[in-house]
Amino acid sequence: MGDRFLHNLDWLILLPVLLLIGFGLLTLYSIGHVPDDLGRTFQSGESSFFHRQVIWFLIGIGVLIFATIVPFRYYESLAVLLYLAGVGLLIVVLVLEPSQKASRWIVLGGFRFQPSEFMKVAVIFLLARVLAEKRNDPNKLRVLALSFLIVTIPFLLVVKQPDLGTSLVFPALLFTILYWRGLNENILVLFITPLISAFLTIYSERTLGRGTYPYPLLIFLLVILILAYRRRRDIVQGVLLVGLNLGVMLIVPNLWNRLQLYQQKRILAFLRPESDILGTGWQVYQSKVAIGSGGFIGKGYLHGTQKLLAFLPEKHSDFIYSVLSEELGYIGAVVVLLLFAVMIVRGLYLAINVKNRFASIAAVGVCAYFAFHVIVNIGMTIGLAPVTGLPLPFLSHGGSSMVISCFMAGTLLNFSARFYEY
Amino acid sequence: MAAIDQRDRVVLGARLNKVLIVLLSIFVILGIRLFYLQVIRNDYYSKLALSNRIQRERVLAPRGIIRDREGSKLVVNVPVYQISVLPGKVQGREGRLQLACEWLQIDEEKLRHNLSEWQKRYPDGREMTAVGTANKRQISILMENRDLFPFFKLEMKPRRQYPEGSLAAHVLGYVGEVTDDDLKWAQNLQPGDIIGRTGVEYRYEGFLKGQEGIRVVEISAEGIRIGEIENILDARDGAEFISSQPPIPGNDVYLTIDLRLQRAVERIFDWERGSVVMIDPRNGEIIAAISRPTYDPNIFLVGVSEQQWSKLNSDPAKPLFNRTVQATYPPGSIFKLITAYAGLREDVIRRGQHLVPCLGAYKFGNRYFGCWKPEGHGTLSLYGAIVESCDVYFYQVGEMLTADQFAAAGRLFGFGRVTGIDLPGEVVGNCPDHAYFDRRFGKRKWTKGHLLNYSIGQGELLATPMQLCFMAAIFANGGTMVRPHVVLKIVDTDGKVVYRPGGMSVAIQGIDRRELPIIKSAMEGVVSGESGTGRAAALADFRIAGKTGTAQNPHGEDHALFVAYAPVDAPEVVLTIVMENAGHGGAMAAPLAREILAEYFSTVAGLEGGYQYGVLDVDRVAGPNR
Repeated sequence: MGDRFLHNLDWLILLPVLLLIGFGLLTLYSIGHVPDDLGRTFQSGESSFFHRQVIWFLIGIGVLIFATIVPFRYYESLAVLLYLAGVGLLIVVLVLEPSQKASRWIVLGGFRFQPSEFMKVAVIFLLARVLAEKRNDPNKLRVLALSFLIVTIPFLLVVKQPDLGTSLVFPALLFTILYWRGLNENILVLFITPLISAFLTIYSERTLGRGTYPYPLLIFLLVILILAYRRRRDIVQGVLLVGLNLGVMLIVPNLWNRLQLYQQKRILAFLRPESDILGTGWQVYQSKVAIGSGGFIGKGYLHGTQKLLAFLPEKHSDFIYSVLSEELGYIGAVVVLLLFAVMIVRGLYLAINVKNRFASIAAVGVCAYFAFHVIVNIGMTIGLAPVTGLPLPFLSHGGSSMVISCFMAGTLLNFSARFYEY
Repeated sequence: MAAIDQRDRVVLGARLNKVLIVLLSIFVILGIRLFYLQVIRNDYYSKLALSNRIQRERVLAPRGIIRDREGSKLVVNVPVYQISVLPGKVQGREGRLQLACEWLQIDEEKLRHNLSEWQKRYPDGREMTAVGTANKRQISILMENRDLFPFFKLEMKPRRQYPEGSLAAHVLGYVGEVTDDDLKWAQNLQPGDIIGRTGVEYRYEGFLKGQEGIRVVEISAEGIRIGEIENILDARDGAEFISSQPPIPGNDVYLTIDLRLQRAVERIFDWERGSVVMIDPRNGEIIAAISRPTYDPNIFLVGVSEQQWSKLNSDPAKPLFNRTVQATYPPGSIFKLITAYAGLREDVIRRGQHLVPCLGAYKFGNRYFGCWKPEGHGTLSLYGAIVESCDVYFYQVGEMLTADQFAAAGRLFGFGRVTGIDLPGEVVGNCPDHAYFDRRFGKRKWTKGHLLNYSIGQGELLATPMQLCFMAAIFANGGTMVRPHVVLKIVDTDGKVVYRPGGMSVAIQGIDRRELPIIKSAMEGVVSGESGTGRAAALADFRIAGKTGTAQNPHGEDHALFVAYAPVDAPEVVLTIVMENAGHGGAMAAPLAREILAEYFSTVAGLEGGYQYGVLDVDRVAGPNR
């Protein structure tokens, strides 16, 4: 601890984090604020979100400092314990009386806490610990199976809640970390392409119903054939790749037709929000109106209008980026995007600069966590990604997300300050 | 722990580059999309934002109409204006609320109380109904002063009405607002929606409901509707969301019920508790069905108060209970038809066989089982035993049968299983077999004595009036089973038939049709014979077959039962009457059957000239043009 520690600390990670939290607080304050000229017609908004978030901010900073200072070898040695605790909490959540529609929270003395957020950290640490050992090459079946097991348990528990959006974080973390640890690209392709096939097949279901061709699916089929052609030297892999994907494309419609109508609707609403105009599709539409009407320089801080109307739901949590983009315009929206990009890119460079293998893998995991949340959340507000309920790190209102995001950022800072440690 | 060495770092560097390319290209796509929305399409979205006083409203589809078989309306929709309060808009306008209540003559204190209760229950600010049916004065005041009272919303809603009141109430069922429980499992329901609760309203909900539409309306900043909008601007990628969609009305349901006959039966059946079922044995159509006591389904629409509901619900006479399918009774002597069939089928008796004469009681072991006629019937054949309903004769048949033989015959005729009628809540009754008696009384703890009771339809045996009708229809058809049903067809708004019941008539496997004629001729004797127990049901010009029943009831007076079908040579109507605590079936139920059948032949059978006793000849009735 001392000058050297502060010198090594990556300020290009810390600074974006602080700025992003600042943006979040400003936007939350704005949501509770009604412009003077409209004060007659609108009641004052929900300022309580801002006040609560200030408290979370203070706690978050404390967590960030803590996560930075604790020597990171403790994370490695505690990984198994953290993981077991996380799984335990997820089970407790499922067993306890559901607090709302879905059982996601544990209530502790007035604070609600989402174990699934905690679980993301635990999974990253445990995967990093297992894969940090040199003999654990992810191309070995044993290691691959173990990694999948580590991720599948929390994945299924979260799906059961049910929280499909959050559960998808786990496979995203797994594949990124495995790739980083040296998983053969060919194997990775074998895992990921069937998922895309399934997604596109369901996505095309309605197009087929209308009698037109499902172009995205056909294009993807072409991509697969090209990939297979490039693997022509290894005939087994090529056949496996084409077979798996064609199999998925043929089986999925069959399974699909067996689902109840409401189940189909729920999945379609998830994949294509516009198919559910009364529900999530309307949210996306309103979000696009808010963002689009912001223009290049925005309507000015505190001068957004869409936030006042009841049309933009979840504007303080999942759709906070819509409010921000309306008031601060394209400039503000891109600045936020860039801040995230800087932070994540610095984190990735950190991953090859640290000398410790655990730190390297964990850093990549943390970056994958941030990237996935940012892309899915912002993609959702501009109609490019499904409506999942994933928060925007540092900006969205909510304690669990703030604390965990700060903790993750703290670990990155931690690795950067101790990059030389073996 | 091994450190990352130089060789690793080279590999990782290559991987880092690929990860960076993927990551940054996604970020660039996000940036481009933002640029498209915020810079290129800014004008378009700005206009939308300005006019983002545009809201979608659900337009409820009118519920389908329920008609009788000729098309007369039994359930309709009437439009009413409803005043709702928007809780979020009341704050800060207490003075106005007071004024509004004064003008609209609403009890302000009560409204405030209800509203605060409502907000505690639903903190999400959903609207509460303040006035279920607004009168003309209230409507015009509210329409003129929309700006003054933004917290009140005036809405036209279709409301269910039952123009015939309590007529066929148990068949029609009633509707009600969805509860929170319904909302949990139903995807497309919203608070305030109306759904069927019982009867046809419940069972055919999917056909009756229709599909709601969407209306796009412009609202002022105060949340007041300004008007409807067909389409916004040249909305290209918004058009999909914001064009109006008209609702698709529910389908009309035609019942098999004949309104004229139903009215007549409701009038003729003047007993306090009981039921009447009439079905067409050729196809299972239920042409009239009543259950008493009854209720007026209209009360559920005005919004049943807690008091009214608990009164209806806790009434010991159970008016909400559909006795035709939900109440079970011992069938009494009606079951002798089955005992007779079982006896013939199992060869324990022969057609003309006379058994030990009836002297008013039958000694079994050291117990005496009495006949209903204390002075005795003397010596009888099977025919006479059915006609005079002699208990002693059937005790002897029962003694020769086993419990499983009883159960098998009973099941064949529909006892102990549902008839499959398209009304909710049907119960199965009970048709006990050997295993049942073992369970009920313990192994070897029961004797032949139970079977003696079984043979005359008393004891553990239980059946619904619908099951009795079902059974009588099998006799009428000579071994063919028809599934009773109340829906004739369902027709959409274009007049296209979207549903028609099918496969309603099935020949029963395993029934011995040779044994039926003797029983059927005895059934005719029950009504036409000199000493027939059902002779009070006889009509001069029609050959009617029937069977009386008197169900012992430990809680009071016996229940009077009667089943009948007519005309005997080509049956077209089967009738079941149950009168709770009325006494003997022959004395109480049979005379009603006579009146109802007379009504049937003069109205439904299409004899417009009207039926006069003794004037019509049978031939004119034999081929009805219904």
